Amino acid sequence: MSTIALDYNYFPLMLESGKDLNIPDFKTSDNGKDAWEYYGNFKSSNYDKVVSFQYQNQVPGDDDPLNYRVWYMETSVVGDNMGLIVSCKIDYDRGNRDDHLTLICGFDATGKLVLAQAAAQFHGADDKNFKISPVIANTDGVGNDVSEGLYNAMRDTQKKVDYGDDRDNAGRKGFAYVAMMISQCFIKSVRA
Amino acid sequence: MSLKFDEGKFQKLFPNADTNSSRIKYTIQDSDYRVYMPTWNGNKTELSMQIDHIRNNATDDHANLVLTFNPDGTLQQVAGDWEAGGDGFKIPPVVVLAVDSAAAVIVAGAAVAAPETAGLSAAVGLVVTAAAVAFDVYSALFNYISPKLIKLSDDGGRLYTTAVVCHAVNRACSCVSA
Repeated sequence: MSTIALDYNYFPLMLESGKDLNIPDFKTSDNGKDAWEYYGNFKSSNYDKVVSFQYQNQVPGDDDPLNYRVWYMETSVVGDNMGLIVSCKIDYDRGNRDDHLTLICGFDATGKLVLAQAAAQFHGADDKNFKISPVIANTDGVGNDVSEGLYNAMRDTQKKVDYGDDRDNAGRKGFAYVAMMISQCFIKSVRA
Repeated sequence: MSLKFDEGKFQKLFPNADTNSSRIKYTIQDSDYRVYMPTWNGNKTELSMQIDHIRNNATDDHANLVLTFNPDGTLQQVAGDWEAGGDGFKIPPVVVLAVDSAAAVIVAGAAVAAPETAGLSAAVGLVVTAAAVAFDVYSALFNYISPKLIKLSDDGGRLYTTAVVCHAVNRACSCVSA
């Protein structure tokens, strides 16, 4: 019996195919494997890599896409192959001051996404940092689709928040869509 | 019959780690963390763990955990607290109880408890699958500390500690056997 695991090389391929998402360094010739590139303070392992991607057409009157990066995921198997925990940090690149989202997803033994939770920390906007309550399949108004529940929870939390200008509002509220899409990429990339 | 903890297996479960007999140091998501080798408390049903978020040239953040196991090696309870490096801010301890069931391990967590009711008496509320057990504890901790935490500077590494703790507890559980 194989161990439940995340297919890291498949992840960029799925992310690139997401609506309004674009990986500038995506190369069709290798199905996006080279989209994983070193970033940040350390350059010694795959875990120091990110996929940099863009979320397009979200800022009114501004053609420049929003820039994000997702870090190489940490995973751990639950018990005797009973499930998988997948977590990552997602950065919204605001130039020289990033915002951070920590995303954790829980998969059951069949590879079904059963749990998602996220917390955000914004640079210089501390009073607007937020966390959502855990999104758990088939509980508390969450249906079978935990990715959608994750999106709804984050969207509702940020709905009335004003982050300042159009770009920051789009980029920070864009975390809801980006996290949902990344969780869906996890679903497609988890091998049970 | 006492429970066993497989230290060698535990060390190998951390990615790209620098390990010795007493601690595991690893870099993930652009930050450094130190996970001390879990140790049994007296009666060998409680496993104590400490996890540091390493902050260069500053005091580390510390998470302390006590995992309590049933005689068959399944997780019964996780107690945790957290202290911010720098100003010594601590969060009140939180306890998450794990309840066994036929289909799956079900956890009754304290994640929705209000701060003033933190503690074992508040350990009711969410029912989640085993994959969420540690995260449930730390989502509760996050509720408690967020008014303070958001005033502290961070580069993302303090926030990601929630995930590090979740994985460390999960890995520890998979190394305990009857």
